[in-house]
Amino acid sequence: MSQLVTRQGKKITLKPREYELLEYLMRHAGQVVTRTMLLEDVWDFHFDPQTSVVESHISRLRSKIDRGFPVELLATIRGAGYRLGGD
Amino acid sequence: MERRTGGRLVNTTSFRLALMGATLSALAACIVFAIIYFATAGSLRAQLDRDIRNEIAELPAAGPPVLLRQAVDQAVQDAPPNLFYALVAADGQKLAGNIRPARIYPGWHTYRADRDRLPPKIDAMRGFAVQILNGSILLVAENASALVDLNEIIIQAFGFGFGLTLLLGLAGGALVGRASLRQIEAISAASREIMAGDLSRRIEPPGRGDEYDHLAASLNAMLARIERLMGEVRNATNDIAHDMRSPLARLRETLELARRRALDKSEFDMVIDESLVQLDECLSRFSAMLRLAQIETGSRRAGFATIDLSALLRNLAETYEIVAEEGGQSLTHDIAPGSFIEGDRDLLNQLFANLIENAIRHAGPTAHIDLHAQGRIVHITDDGPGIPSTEHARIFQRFVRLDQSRHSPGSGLGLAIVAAIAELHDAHVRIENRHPGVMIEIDFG
Repeated sequence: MSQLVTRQGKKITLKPREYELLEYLMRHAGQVVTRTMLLEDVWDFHFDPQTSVVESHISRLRSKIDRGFPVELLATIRGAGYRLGGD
Repeated sequence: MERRTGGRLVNTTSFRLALMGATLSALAACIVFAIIYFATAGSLRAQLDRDIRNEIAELPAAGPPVLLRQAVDQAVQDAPPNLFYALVAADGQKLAGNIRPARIYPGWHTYRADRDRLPPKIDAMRGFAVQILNGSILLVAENASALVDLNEIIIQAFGFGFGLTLLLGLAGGALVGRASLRQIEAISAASREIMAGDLSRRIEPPGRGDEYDHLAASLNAMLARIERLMGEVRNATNDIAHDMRSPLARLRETLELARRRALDKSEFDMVIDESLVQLDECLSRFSAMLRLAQIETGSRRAGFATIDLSALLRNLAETYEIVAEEGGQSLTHDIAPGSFIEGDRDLLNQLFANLIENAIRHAGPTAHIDLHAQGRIVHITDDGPGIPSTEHARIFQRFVRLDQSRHSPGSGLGLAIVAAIAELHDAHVRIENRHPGVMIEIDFG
């Protein structure tokens, strides 16, 4: 299975976990996804990590898909979670 | 009380065993007496019968009646005092001989002084009668007093021996049963007293190295475990109360300060965010405690499945590689593929995540962490400050936080959960100092 990600024709290289995270966010595009949803659905973690697992991956993903582009796609919703695209 | 003991005595195992033993010895006594009987009385009787047959054979029973009568008369004169003869005509008239029993017909007879009229000083007689051609009956009998006496002696001895065996067996059983009942009663009385009061007390073993000592030892081991568990529960309660106090106290302080000050909207938002963080910390401690309790019940074992340990570890390594890198640390991995174990995927994820996170949180800002797996053995190594050897045994207990991490957030339950999950999977956990750093080994055996 090939995992090719492009934005405005620019190729973006993602690691497997980053790709899965992006895929999940795209399937829920425009919706707010919580940290717990991400942990359970992307990582299959059914416990509360003591390190910033979600934050680190979001930050890494954001740096790859949003850096250098005028519009930020991946938004942090304060106190709720994250949203890809939409308002 | 005495009656109750007596009633239960019959129900004790040792009494039942004694009863069975007594029955078996009584049966053995029967067999011994049967052998004695046939060896003595039996052979005596056979001797008598042989004598009588010989005597009859010497008389001309098939000859003319007159000759037979003369022969009988002669025999009566010559015979030793223990032999007796009778020749009775078909009409019952005595023709010759020195006895005249009432019962006289062909075949073997035993005559006894109390039933039949016998010569003086003779208690019993054994005889054989034959019918001869003209219908008369010829009887030869021999004094059988000795045989009857012997029979009586044997029967008396048998009765006495049998009764004594049975009595001794029963008495022995009663004694043994009573003694064992007393021991058991002492042990259960001690148990009741201990349960009612002082859990640190122990049962005094009788000290003879027998089953009662084993029983007392097992019960004492059980009591020690109960005492330790109760201590743990007490400690856990203390620890939980102690542990929950600080975040809750901080929360209260935050709220109180916010109330005293006049606040604008943005400050208000900040206070709420801060409060939420503190509440989340409390909640995460509670969920860690519940998680630990749930793991320790062992109920998850029912849902064990075959898990690709290599794939699970690779996923974790790929996940935490990024977490470590974002914090300025690094994480490498060397995981041999194709290792499968029986286990619970969620719990195994948590086990290794807890260990990796522990390294990320405590090994320092530029630490290097390595995840290595070969077969059923997994190593997680860091190059941080390490863990003092004296603390190695302690860090897997609940709520234990080493001084250096006393003030960092965390439930103090992460490694306790690791230990519980490892135990659930029959895995062995080992810590080794690496100078610098520490290596934790999980061996699934």
